[in-house]
Amino acid sequence: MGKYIGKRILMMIPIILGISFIIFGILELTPGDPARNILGDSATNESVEALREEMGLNDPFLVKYFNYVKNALRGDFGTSYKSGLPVLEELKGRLPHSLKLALGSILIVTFLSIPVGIISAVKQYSFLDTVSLIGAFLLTSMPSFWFGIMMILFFALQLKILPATGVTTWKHFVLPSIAMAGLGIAVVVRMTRSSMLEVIRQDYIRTARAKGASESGVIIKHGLKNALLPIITVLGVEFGSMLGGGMIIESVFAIPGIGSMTVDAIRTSNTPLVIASITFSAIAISIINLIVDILYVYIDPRLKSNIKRAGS
Amino acid sequence: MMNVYEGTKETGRRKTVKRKSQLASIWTRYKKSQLAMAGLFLLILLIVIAIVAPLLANYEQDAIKQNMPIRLQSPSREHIFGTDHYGRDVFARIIFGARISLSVGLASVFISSILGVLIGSIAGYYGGKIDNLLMRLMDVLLALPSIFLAITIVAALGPGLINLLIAISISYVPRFSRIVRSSILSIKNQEFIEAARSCGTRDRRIILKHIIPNAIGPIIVEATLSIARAIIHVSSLSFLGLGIKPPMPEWGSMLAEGKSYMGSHQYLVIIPGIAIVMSVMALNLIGDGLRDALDPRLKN
Amino acid sequence: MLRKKSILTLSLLLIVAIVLAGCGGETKSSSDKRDNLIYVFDGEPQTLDCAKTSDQLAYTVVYQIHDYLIDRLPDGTLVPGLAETWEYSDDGTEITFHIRENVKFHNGDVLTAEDVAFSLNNAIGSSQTSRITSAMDSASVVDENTVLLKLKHPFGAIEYCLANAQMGIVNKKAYEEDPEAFARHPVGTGAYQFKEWKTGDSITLTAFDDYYKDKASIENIEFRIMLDSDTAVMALENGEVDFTFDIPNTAIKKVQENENLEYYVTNAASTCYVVLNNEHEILSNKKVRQAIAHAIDKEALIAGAVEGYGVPAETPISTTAFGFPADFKNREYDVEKAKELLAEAGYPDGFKIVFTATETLNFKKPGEILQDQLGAIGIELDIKDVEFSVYLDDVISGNNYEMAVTEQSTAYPDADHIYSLYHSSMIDVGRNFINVRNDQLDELLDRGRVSQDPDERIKAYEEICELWKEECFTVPTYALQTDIAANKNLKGVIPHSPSVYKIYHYSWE
Repeated sequence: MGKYIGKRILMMIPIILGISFIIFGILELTPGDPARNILGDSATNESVEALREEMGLNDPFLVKYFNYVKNALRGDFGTSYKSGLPVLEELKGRLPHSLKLALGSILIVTFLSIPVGIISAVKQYSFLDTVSLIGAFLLTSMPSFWFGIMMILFFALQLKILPATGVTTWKHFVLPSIAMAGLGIAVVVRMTRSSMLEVIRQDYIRTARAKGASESGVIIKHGLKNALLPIITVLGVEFGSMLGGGMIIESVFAIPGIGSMTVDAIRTSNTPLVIASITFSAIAISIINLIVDILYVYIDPRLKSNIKRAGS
Repeated sequence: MMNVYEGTKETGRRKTVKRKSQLASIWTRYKKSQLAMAGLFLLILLIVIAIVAPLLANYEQDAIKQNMPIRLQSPSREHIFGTDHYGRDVFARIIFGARISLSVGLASVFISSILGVLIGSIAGYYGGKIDNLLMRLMDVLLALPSIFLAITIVAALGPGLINLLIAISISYVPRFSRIVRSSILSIKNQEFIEAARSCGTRDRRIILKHIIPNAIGPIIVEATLSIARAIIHVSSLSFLGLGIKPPMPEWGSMLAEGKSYMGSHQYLVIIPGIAIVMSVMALNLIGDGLRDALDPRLKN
Repeated sequence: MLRKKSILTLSLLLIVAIVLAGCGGETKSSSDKRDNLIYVFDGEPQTLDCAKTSDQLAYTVVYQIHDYLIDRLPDGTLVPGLAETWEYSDDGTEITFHIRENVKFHNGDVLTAEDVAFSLNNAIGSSQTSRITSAMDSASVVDENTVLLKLKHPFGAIEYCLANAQMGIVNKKAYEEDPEAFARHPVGTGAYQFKEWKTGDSITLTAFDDYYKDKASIENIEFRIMLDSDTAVMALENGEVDFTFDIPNTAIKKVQENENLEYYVTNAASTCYVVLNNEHEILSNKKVRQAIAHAIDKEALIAGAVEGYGVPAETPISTTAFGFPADFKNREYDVEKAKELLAEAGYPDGFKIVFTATETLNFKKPGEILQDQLGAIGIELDIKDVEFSVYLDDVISGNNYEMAVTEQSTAYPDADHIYSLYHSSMIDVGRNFINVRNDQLDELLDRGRVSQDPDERIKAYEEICELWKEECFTVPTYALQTDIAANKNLKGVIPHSPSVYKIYHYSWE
């Protein structure tokens, strides 16, 4: 098992190097001078040039990139051009907000979608099934930022029961979490429904029923357990994209998280911050995938041999 | 979603000559789904509106020309969707905006599917080192959320229609090449390809004449769904101020502009959103319908 | 067995998730008398080193932490601050300041002349302060409680400059020990001392017990960072925060109607104007510039760009400045005349031009409106919406633009503020990025600067406005207003320009 995890972590390295190289390259082409950004509008051209030199901005691209990687390997991810703070410090300040948002969303997805999906499958073609399918369909067709705006309009401006923006209390995270969860809800409801449908047609469900087990017992014990694999996969994918995908939601709800920071950093060519944030989300996604794979083994021990094979 | 690939095996086994009757049977199956037909109808309606937009409103006078005295008027008989913060007619901007959203969506998916088919078929057909190299590159790009890649590219190139198109196209290439590659892998060792190869047909011809036509199903499904996604991404980028240049009407930038007035003029954020949802929904319905029609076994 | 384990793992994960998600959920207890103030920031300061600060938000923070040689009261009058008295030399180029005794810094040190001279020189040496320190030469210690400030030339507005937020008196020892740490944790003598800076979240200050005047009435200040100003207003309406300034124009009406809030407004010392690069091959033609001036409908611009919250501007001189000619009228809005002038200039069909805008400063809206208005006489604007730093690079310091708009706020209320913008000697060293080279203008600006006779000065500035009408170096469009929205129980609030407020003067009812 340890070997397997080690191998998975090693596999992330080339991906992260590749990503950072590509992003580094694109940002190199982005107009905007970090030195000018720091010094503001009353600075002279000489002082801007001096700062550029000091920051190493005048070096050739490859030199800059290799210096960056070299420092990063030593644990130094550079300083944000804008605030002058170490990048990790900057991320640390933002991470809690993004984490709360992503966790809130994934909780909503889990506790709403799985029950709805199960009921849809058990009572296929019922009124509730139709409603949930239409709902899921609408959610997949809606840009999440517009969903967010509509909720602000209704819950914050019209009913005034929830705050529209900010991060002060748990209430502030309700609307953005729902907005972020929207697409995930749809995907997981559909996935739960279809994989439950497949399972309840199996013989062993019929056997369990015939043995006189209670209906809900059959569904939960035998049905859900066997339908869980694809659902967990999808949940993992959704959680990953939530951690890395807060860019627009965080802008709409004015949440000072990693997403809104990244958009700002891209626009101001604040390279160290962009690379750090994208590396962070790549690592987070890989870790989630890993956890999902490990969960598989607990749910379906037959898969253990797969992991052993992959690890050797 | 995973089952799409299984579906291609099925279609791939049939001979290309039968394509016509195959198309007809796909259409028969497609027609059976009311939702899919509704999607098709909705899309045709949107396309028709986009085409006849100049008959419904005057681009220069209604959608572009500012008229401050009548700014921020709620929907009325004269302006059925109201006017925006510059006194422009929102209805006119919505229907001309349809042209932009639909054409950017179509064009970017067209470009990215061509590039994706190219990369995917080369990788899948030749295998080995080329495959490894191309697919690792695609893996790297896939590890980035596509909206992130698009934002970075637009930031580098600057806002504008063409740059937006480039950004969206590039960020969709990896998905297409992945799909194409896996369909090709499932086809390339089948008998009719072997047969073509033994007749001495050249690689390029095999790819173009035999492999791609047989792998086209999943590409079309993915393309339809990608247009829907592209429409959302274009509007997201515009919403962040990284979209088209003013004064062109675009739904996402209309939303961004309307957001500061949403407390008092809700229609400014509701209407463009509905336009986006409608077009995305139409394309999603068609995509789902096509998927089911291409592989009838998938229907529950 | 395995199943139980997996359920256990899942539920553990969920519990952790719930606990983490619930972390931010503290509730505020509402006591009778508030002892804190929550002040909204729509961005985050880059530094709190007052000589290096460059934005309103940072000014506001350092303004609470530091004291100044000369204090500016909310109504605009200047009173002695850390300097108890001061006198000028006969030629007006030297000022001697007598420093107040027994003033304590937040770290317990006693204020000395060393600290004062160091702070002044530090500010003079900083590239961020050139607007206010350009007339200052250097400061030196005379004795324990006396500091001498040398000027490059006599300068009427010097006292305003010394009261500026960037001229705070810092603790020399703390600053020199580690300037970078100081920029994150400043030490001054002000009514509030620095407490905490949570990046991306808030900056908190707390009242200083040993302040040399009475202790501040409000104990704690939190500057809360809320990136979106629209939503900051919503938080204000819901009573989550207490104070914000420069309300988004689209939200003013809601604020005025809210009975828990008070809305304050006054004229700002900033003017918005259309920047025409006077060296551009087409715009260097006077007739073209005149045509543009006639084509601009200021009322429509005010309605569309600032929701009507502005006053049409006729001159480049700030409405709040000494020397502002209140009755002067510039060229009127007249499309036909504009077309004629354009035809006379040799462009009957108009031309294409690039307009550089940045959304960071809300310049996109004026750009879109000008695109429409100038489009009517055939001038086609290609709006280039760029990042803030690109705007600074291209327009303000790079001379790499054709047309733009900008907002100019004055550091001191005197018409002389236009000197650094339009005098030809300021093309490379100052802020004359419009590239105005006009001998007559230079002569008038010089006269306005050095003359000691107020009437002669007023006359010089009137002549400048006449010249402006003829030459149209730039097209002044509107003067802005500055406003505050605050909890109605907060007393002592007076809006003024620049919008940097001292919370020491505020109290809760």
